[in-house]
Amino acid sequence: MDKKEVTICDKDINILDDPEHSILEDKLFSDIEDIDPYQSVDLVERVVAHKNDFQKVEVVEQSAELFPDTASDSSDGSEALENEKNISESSVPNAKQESVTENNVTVSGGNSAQAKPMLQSSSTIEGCVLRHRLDPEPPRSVLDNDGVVQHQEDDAVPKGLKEKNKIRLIRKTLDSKPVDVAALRNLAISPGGLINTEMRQRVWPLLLNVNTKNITPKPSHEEMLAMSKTYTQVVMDVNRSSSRFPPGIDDHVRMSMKDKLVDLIMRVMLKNKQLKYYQGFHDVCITFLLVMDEDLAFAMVDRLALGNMREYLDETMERTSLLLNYIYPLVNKCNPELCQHMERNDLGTIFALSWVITWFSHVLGDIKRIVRVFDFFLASHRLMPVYLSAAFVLYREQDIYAAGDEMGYIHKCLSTIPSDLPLESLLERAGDLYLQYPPIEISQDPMLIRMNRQVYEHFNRIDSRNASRRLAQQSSDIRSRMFVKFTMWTVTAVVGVAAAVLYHAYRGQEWAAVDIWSPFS
Amino acid sequence: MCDPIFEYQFRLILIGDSTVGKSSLLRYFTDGKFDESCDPTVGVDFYARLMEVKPGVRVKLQLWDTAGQERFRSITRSYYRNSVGVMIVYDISKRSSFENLKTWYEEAREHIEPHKAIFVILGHKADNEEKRQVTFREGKRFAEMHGLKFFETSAKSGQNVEESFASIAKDTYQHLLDGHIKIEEGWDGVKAGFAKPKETVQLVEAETESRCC
Repeated sequence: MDKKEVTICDKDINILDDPEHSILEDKLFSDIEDIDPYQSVDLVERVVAHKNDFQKVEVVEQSAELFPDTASDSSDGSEALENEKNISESSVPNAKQESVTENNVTVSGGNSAQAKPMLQSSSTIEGCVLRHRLDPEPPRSVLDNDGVVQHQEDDAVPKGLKEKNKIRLIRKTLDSKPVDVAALRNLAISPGGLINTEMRQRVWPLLLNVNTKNITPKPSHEEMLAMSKTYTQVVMDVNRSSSRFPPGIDDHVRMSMKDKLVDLIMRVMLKNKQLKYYQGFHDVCITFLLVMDEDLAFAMVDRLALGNMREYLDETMERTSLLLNYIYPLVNKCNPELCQHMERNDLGTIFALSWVITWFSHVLGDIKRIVRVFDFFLASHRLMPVYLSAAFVLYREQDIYAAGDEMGYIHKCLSTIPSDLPLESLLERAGDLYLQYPPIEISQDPMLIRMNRQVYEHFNRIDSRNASRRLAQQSSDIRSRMFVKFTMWTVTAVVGVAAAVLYHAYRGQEWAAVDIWSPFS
Repeated sequence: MCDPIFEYQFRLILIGDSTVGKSSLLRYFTDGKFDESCDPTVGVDFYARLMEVKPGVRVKLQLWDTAGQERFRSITRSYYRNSVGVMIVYDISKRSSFENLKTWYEEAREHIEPHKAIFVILGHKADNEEKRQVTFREGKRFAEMHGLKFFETSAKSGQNVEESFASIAKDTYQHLLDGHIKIEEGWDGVKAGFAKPKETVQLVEAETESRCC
């Protein structure tokens, strides 16, 4: 490795050592010894593979060589196999650390040793090879983080002893055989949630009962391109999603993750063709990609897409609108006056749309808060995002009144998340609301029934309008086709007659025969 | 926070295909900022700004930014009804966004009726000359064919941003003076503003944030 490469490497490590970037630090440098000896081998593999992923980006930079990601995918596969081999060979738990270290060495050596040809479809951003044609981004300074809400002190994660105790408790629960998922659920919900990335990598799949084996492989680039409309939309949205990545993240790492993000979304869409991508789904996917490796993130998102988030991925927003309606009866139960104020101003439910369909990841800004909320939702009822939305509204009561009788300002007020939001107490409030007014009770609330009826009517109107538009289109098509046919026939007949007349006109001896038809007679 | 003085409040809505730059345009108009990468809008966003329509007469523009993805149209349609102005935006470097103008225009008209609204066509990202796929003439011809005003704008260079909003605000004001548009109960397209206590309140040119936050 030459001098220049060493400098790049040092710079990277400095960036990652920065306390601001604790998430990345977690991923790269979380204590390998902490990996539980008794956990499932599969999970260990994935945690290790994820670390390797990040390391690989550095390796690419160091060697300044270009590899297609598809090629590194195959090396991913061989790494995974090697990991599996090493782990299964190490019958003594203590040997695990060694095997992990060995793997990392193998990965680095393997990548820098061979140069591979570049695929046509991939694009290159200064040493970072991408599967998808993503726009290059200008390097951003640390100050250039507009749009990212940064918080010095986050109330989402309690510090110190409490944290350590909780981690110990989570590990202990993970050790239990069979694993006590109900206890993990409680730990994910209780203050502080699952504390760090490593715990999330291990607990989240258990909360969703995700099968971490037999994960559907990544589709080929051609398959993705074939789904052109969705693919174009996804690439456009991912291109614009920079603010969702942790501030200060290295440009190459971000670009590489964006590339993986397109893969992840398309993988879910291609596996479940009945689902329809929506803007905001990418926010959910980024969150998983920031916590776990591609395969595990896919397994999680795939499960959510078919479960908790199924309605949001419908072709229309009808079922999502019905879910959002829950907010009103909930607010009404706790604060009827506030509810009336909102209704009087025709506020509707769109203010909460991005909250619910992105699980608040579109608006919370700080990744620590987002993963905390995800802990909570993954362990809760599928309607919990709606309960949290109601808790948010109730918390902003005074601000809503201060916004006056103006729907726009109330909307703006609610969609601007204050930096001092007491997230933990709001989660607690949402949990309380759920216990006090469970979904079954709210579903029978007259207010909800009335609001749902309006939604049905609205979508019926749209349906019938679309149908009549289609019908009008069809009949105008038929009319225009008839017109074209008629014109063609007429033109053909006229041309035919004209040709016949001219033909006879040139043959002077036959004038007599056509005399009566001749225009010159 | 005290309310700045304005005579009328106009509600405008921005529509157009996804990624044509509606949010960037609004952000530039209200904040004077331009971001290379602007997160996709999920649902609708709200902006506001004061504007002078003739010397001494200010109006407040309430601006609704809508998500461009087709699936969101079903819920953003309800915002058309209460708008007095519609800006239909396309990207000059993306042909398909221009070809969809007609659909956007027809849909907006259909939902705004029986109320009247002022439409403006904006060819956005005009700084991107190298990748231009729609000529100025094509854009202008479309607008003229429907009797609408047309601007080519850029949030990167600021080209025509102020002018296009000023145009729609002035035209709306003129229609209001001429009686073509009226303040109506139950319709929020145009609302009367606050009276003018001349000495007490300081005039604010641009309001970028909401009153409560």
